[in-house]
Amino acid sequence: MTINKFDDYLRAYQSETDQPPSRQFLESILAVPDQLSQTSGLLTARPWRWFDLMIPKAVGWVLTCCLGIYIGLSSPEGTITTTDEELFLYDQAQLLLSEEMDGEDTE
Amino acid sequence: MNLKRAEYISDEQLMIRTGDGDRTAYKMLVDRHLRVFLGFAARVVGDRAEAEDIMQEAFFRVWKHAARWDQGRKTKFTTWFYRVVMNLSVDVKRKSKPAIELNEAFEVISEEAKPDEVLSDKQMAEKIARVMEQLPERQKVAMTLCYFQGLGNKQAADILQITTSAIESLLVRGRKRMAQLLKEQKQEFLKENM
Repeated sequence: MTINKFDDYLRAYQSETDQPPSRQFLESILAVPDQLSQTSGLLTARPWRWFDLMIPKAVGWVLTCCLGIYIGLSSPEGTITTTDEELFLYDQAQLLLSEEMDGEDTE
Repeated sequence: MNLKRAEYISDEQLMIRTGDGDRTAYKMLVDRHLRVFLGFAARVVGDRAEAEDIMQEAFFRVWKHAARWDQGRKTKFTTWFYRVVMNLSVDVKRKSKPAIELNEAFEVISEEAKPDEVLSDKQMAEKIARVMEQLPERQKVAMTLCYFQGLGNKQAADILQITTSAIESLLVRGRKRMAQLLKEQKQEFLKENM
């Protein structure tokens, strides 16, 4: 058998076995995701994906901590806030009133 | 990324998206590869119906295990998928008992026997299918990958996990064996018709 003849055989075999899939078969292949759930391999086989997901979270937490520390340091210790001042005045007024009442009783 | 720009998305990227549950990516993989791999499975097992079962199982594996696709290992999707289909086909082939009727497998209508010069394509295909059935497993897979799937020796060697020189050797031996078997078939034909 010549090389050309042999190649003709191979070509004929190739074209005969290269048939397009039927519509029904194609649909059954496309329906695979409806029939089967996926195996989760995020932590075991794809650690880089896990890392990718963690980066935004880690950055968020670090920024929140920095903000907390900044706010904490920016308010000076010992300053009296408006609310503290009001409470202090209220206590003072009560003290004065009670002293006045004590004075009335003794008279 | 827009999936409409299909030509810019590699199979490996589609596999990663499939792993994330993206059905469009899965559909694109099916559209790209079903026909080629169905042909491959049909050539290895010699039966279209069995080849369809193999492809069903192979795409089950694509969908189920896509989340485990390791981008870092640098394996081409097609190389991996050829290995999956090849292993499934070889398993099916080993389990199946009698050789299937080739006329049935390739829908060859029984025609009157003719000499080589006037054989139809279907009859030539049937002869090659018969010869392929008799080849050793590895020679058959190597011949199928290189001659019928159009792969280079390098990729075929990667799929079979052997060296390029080993695949070349398999091809030379396979081709020789096929030519010899075809010659024997011809002699048998001449004896029967004399």
